[in-house]
Order: sequence, then C-alpha cells, then structure tokens
Amino acid sequence: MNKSLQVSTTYILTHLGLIFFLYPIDVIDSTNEAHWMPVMLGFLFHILIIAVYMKGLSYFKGQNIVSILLKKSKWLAWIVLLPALLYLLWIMVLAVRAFSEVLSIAILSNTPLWILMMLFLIVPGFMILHGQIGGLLRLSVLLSFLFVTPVIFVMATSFQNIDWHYLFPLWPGDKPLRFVTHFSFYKSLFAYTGGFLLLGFLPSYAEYKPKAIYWGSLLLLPAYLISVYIPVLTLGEETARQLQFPYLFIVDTVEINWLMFDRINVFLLLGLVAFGMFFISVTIWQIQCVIRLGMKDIQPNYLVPGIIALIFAVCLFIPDWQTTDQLFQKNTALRLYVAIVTPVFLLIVGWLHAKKSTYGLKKT
Amino acid sequence: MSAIEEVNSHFSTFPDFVCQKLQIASESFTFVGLKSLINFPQTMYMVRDPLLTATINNLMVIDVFAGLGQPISVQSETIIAEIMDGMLVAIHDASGMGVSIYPVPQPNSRTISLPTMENSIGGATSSFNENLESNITLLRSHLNCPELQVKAYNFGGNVKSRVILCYMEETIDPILLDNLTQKLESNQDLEIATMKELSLILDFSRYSFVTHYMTYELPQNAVRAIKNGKAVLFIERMPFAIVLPSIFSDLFMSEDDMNHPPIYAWLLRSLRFIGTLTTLILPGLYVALVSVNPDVLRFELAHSIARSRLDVPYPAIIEALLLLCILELIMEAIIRLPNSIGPTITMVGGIVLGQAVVEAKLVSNLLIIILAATTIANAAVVGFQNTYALRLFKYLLLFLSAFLGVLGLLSGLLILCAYVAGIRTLGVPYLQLIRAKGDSYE
Repeated sequence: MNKSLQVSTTYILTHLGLIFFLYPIDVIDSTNEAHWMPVMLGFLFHILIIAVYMKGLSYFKGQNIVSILLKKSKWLAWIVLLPALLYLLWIMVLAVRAFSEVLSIAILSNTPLWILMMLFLIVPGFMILHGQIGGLLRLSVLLSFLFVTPVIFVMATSFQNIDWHYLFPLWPGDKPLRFVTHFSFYKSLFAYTGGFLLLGFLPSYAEYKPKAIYWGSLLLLPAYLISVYIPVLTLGEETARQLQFPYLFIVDTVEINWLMFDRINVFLLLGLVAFGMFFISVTIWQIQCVIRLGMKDIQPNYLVPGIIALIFAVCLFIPDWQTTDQLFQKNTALRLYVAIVTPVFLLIVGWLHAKKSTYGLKKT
Repeated sequence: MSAIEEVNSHFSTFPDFVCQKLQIASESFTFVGLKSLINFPQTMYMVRDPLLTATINNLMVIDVFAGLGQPISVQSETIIAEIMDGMLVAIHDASGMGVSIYPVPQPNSRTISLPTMENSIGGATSSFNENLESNITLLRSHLNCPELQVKAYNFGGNVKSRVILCYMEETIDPILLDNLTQKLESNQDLEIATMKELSLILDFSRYSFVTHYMTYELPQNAVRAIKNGKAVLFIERMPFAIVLPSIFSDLFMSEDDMNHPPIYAWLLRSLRFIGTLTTLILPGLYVALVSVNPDVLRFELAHSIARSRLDVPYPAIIEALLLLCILELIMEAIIRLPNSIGPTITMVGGIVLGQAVVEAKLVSNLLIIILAATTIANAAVVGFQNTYALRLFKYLLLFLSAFLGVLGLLSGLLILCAYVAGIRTLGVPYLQLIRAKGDSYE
C-alpha cells in the first residue's frame, strides 16, 4: 500500500520541530551577510544525503537498514549502527532537555524542569507504545492537519515588523564561502540531519515514492529561510546575533489587534512542541528498531519504558543550559559522521549487492 | 405415546397452543402451532384452499399436502422446535407424514416508520425496526444490486438469535472480511442479545474509549457504509444496522450531507470538526488560562476574567468540575424520564445553571458561557456513540490543563491524537477518511 503522504508528513514534521529554536542563531553566527548561502548549502547537503541514502535503500526492496547491514557483515554493520544508535540517544537527550528548557523559559517558569522532561518522554512513549510505527505514520497526518495551520499563521504574521533593506547585500563582498570554515555552520546542520535516518527504518509495508520526500523537503525550505531571515530582517544582523532564540523573540513582539491572545508565540511554541514530541517518539522508535533487530528482541512494553528511564536519568544529570549547549557542540562530529557515513556506506553495500546479483543472474 | 401426543402434553399449559383437526374428503389432518406467532384463521384458509381444490379436481390429496411446505420427520423434538420457530406443523393422520408450513405470521414489530434517534433532512426517512426481514427488505430496496452479499449466522446455545451480515464483495476490504467472518464463525455457541455480547464475540477491547462500530437507523447510512467497503450486521430484535468498523470520518460525515450542495456539505463537516475541537479544548483552555497561563491572554480580557472570578473562593478546576458534574447529571437524568416530567428537569437545570450559581458567586459568568458552548458543541458530531468519547476526553484535557496550563492542554490533545491514530478495528485502522482500508501488518 502506498503511504507516500504519511511518510512525507512524518518527514516534514520531524524536521519542522527542530528548525525554529537553535538553527537561526547558528546560521546567523556563521556569517555576517548573505545568510541564504549557508541555508542553501545546508539544504543541498541535506538533499544530497537523502538522495544517496534512498538510492542505497532502493537496492534492497522493503528491508530496513538494520537487517540489510547485519546480513552483509556483523562487524561492518556495527561501524554504522553503533554511532547511529549513540547519535539517536544523544539527540533525544538534547531534544528533551532543550524543549523543556525553552518551555520553562517561555510559559511555565514555576514548573520544575523534571516534570517537563518527564512529559516530553511520557507522551512520546505513549505514542509509540499505543500505535507503533503504523500509528505514528497516521498520527503525522492528523498532527499536520491540526497544528500546521497555527504555525503557518504565526510564520505569516512574523513578517509584521521587517525592513527589507536588511536583505542586502545579497552577495557577500569577499570570500563568499568563508562560513564553511566556521564551526556554527556545522552545528546548524543538525536541523537537516535530525530525521533522515528514519527513512531507512521504515518497514516494508510503508512504501513511498522518493519524489514525495523531495517535495516534502522542498516544503521545508521556506521554513529554513524564514527562521533565519525574519530575525535578521526585523532587527538587523548585529542585534539578532545577541539573542539566544532569535525567531521566538521576534514572534513575541508581533502585535495583532483582533486576536484575544497577547502572546502569539504560544501558538508557535505549542505547534512546535507537538512536532518536537513527535520527533522524540520517532527517535525512540528508531532506537527500538536498532536494539530489537540488532541486539536482542525485547518486548516494546519493556524496552520503551527502559529507553525513557535511561534518557530521563541522563537528562537529570544535565545541570544547566551551558552544559546542554556544550553537549550539542560535542555532538556535531558524531552527527556529521552519521550523516555522511551511513548513506555512503549503504550506497556502496547496495551497489555491490546489485552487482553481485546481476553477476549471479548472468552466470545462471 | 405418539409424537403428536407428546407435543400436546409439552404444550398443555400453553394458552396460545392450538391443535386443530381438519377433514378434507376422506383424509384427516392435524395442525399444530402457536397462535401468538401465527395468524390462524388466515393460515388455515391458505392451507385448506389447495387441499379442497385437489379433492374437487380428483387429484391425490396427499401429494398436494406434501407440497404445502417442508417435509419434516415426525418426532416430538423436531415438531417442538418448528413450532417455537413460528411454523405451522401439519400431520397427515393416516400416513403419519409431517409438513412444516410457513404461515401468515402475527405481526410482532412496528411497521416501518420514522427514525427515533436519527434525523434525516434531505433524504429518505423510513428506518430499520426490530424485524430482521423488513430490515433486509429496506436495505435491498436501497441497494438493489446482485453483488450485495447477505449471510445468516445462528448464535447461541439454548436461546437462539439470528445475525445477518451484509457486504459487497468488490468493495469490502478483504482483511476486514476475513477477520469478521472468522470471529463470527468461531463464536457461534455464544449468545448475542446486546452490543456488549457482540463486542465480546468480535474481540473488541473492553477498555476502548472510542466506539468500534456505528449504529444507524436509516438504511441509506448503512448502504453508504457498504459502498465504502464496510460490513453491516443485523441482530434479531435490534432496531438498527451495526456498521463495522467505525472510522474517524464517521464523527463528521453523514450520508445526509450528500443531499446538500457540495459546498454546504463541506461547510457542515467543517462545522462539526470545529465543534469537536471546541468541546474538547474549551473547558481545558479556560482552566489553563485562568489558573496557569493568564499572561497569554490580552490584558483587558485577563483583567475582566479575573474580576468575574473575584468572589469565587476555589480554583478554576474545581469550579469547572462542579458545573460540569451538574451538566452531566442533567444529561443523564433526562434520558429515562417520561416526556411529561422531562421539561421540569430542563427548567430546574436552567435556573441552576442560568443565573443562580453566578449570583451566588459559586462560579464565574464566563464559565457558564464556556460550558454551554461545550455542551452544545458536543452534540454537533454525528452519531451519539461518538459523543460519549468526547464527553470523557474533555476531562483528560481539563485535568492536564489544570496541571500544566496550555502545555497540558497540548499534551492532552497529542495523547488523544496518538490514541486515535493507534486504534484498529478488525485490522482496519480507525484514523481514515471515507474508505475503510485494512492493513495486515503490525
């Protein structure tokens, strides 16, 4: 059965939840002018890795990445899977911790952080345990139906105070690609690599057309650009650089006369929180896949609470935002490794596999 | 003792048992049956007429007699079973040959009439009733095509009840059909008299909050469901069609919409969707905004709400629960009251909810408005089984909102969405639009 729509919305939602928090400041940090260049370069990188990844997967119809790799060679498989597992656990810790921190700052300053972190683990845990992947895929459609409208509404209203002059210069003066030497650029790539691994874990019944994924990522492009350009266009590059969450700050300054709500960034935040929880549940599912197929087939009813308890414990050990940020920076190398090695490795394995089978066919 | 005497003694205390002799020419026949189930004068007329014609035309009376109905073996158990089924049993005294005749039955149901629980604005208004045959008649007259499959199942050991399954071979999802027929066939010794027993046979979770089936009184709704790949069950003495499985769009779409221009149909559906969201979110939003996140509101509004709650001595959640409790009590009380007393409750409830609680400073003005809107919106969804789920779910959102404010509200909504997305009925996921498509995995 074709599930292009569900897979595509899942793909969009997992990324949409990540864009608006840390991504803008990383991009703004990486260059002084022409911010579209790092955005576009990141986006091209993203398209490239998913293209390679999907090409690699297409050699093995209906199998997921864990079983493909384990079938080839156990040792080689773990060179790819172990970093991926570590990476997934790591970004889950970061996501839970960061989302709780943002919410604590924005709307629930009196609530202890551990309650928020628990919420960010229990709700996604329920999503996974109740529906498994089929439920998650269907949920993505329902969530996008419910929550994309408010997010788009907020995105549209955030243009309220912009000054188009800040758009220039469109082309940087000297050394246009200087930002690639800046660490922040690599940090910003997390917004592109957060959910792409999912495509390799989808079970055989979730067939999709690669075209749907490309269209989905194309829909994400405006979100990347808006999240970076709105702060820059409103405040100017120098001021925007000073803020921790520039986009959220800008949305907070938007004033709409006819709305009964004073702070419309709550809508954005809640929408993003919904996508964030969805992202976390998808990540739990991927971790569960690696463990169940690669190590030991533990019942999800025990495994998922186990993963949640582990993440929760780790989150409790992170004392403040500085540490979170450091963890986030340290994660960059691993992220790049996973984002580059996994698709390329899969492509090579797939290519060899295809060659072997055509050779086998010729022989017979 | 002969079989007929045994039957006589078995029914000797039955006031409605009739054992009648009939003499045609030289042959004598015995007719037995229950007059509560059989219209005797008409049936006897129907039976005597061919026999008399036979004697006049010098035909073999015994041959004509055998052609009146189904030949049965003359044993007391068989005869008793046939009689209990509402058949007329006739025995030729000389040869001892027995025939079970389909009689003119006593009317035992309402005639086909208007629906009592559903309303049809633009479509047909004749509704299903307690009679299985007339229900099938209605269904057939709405869906006159050879592809319609009708299968009968007999359920129960001592107490028998018939269940009829209808579907269309080319539209129904094969996974659904497999699961359904397998469950029905493997549980035929169980009794079916209530929906709970049906749920037991079909193996639905006891702890499911969302209904797995829809019941429709109007045949066009059942026909639409069949065309959309669902299955329809009729249970003896149940005045509605049971449509399996129920899916998400059943909350918002009704067959009646098809009789309106498409724009209005979609507007009406959107309205129902908004109603669903309203009834779920509004009480929780009130509690969240009043007690946890007042800063989200515009200052003027937050101020006026705070002023209206100035004299209310307890937190917003208690206030909301108090009034919701009264509302639920009114809704429950009104169901079983006779029509002559119902208005009294409405009036008393109106007084309580209207001005009195506000003036007594027990709750704020705004809450009355919100709960009224919630209750009205609750009724906007299609199918009363669905309103139960919404009535319950709003409490989840209410409690989470009291705990975590707007974030709690959102989490509650997410939990609901995840719950709805994870439900499956007989292999068919709940979260679907229009067509019920099954998937075998998971």
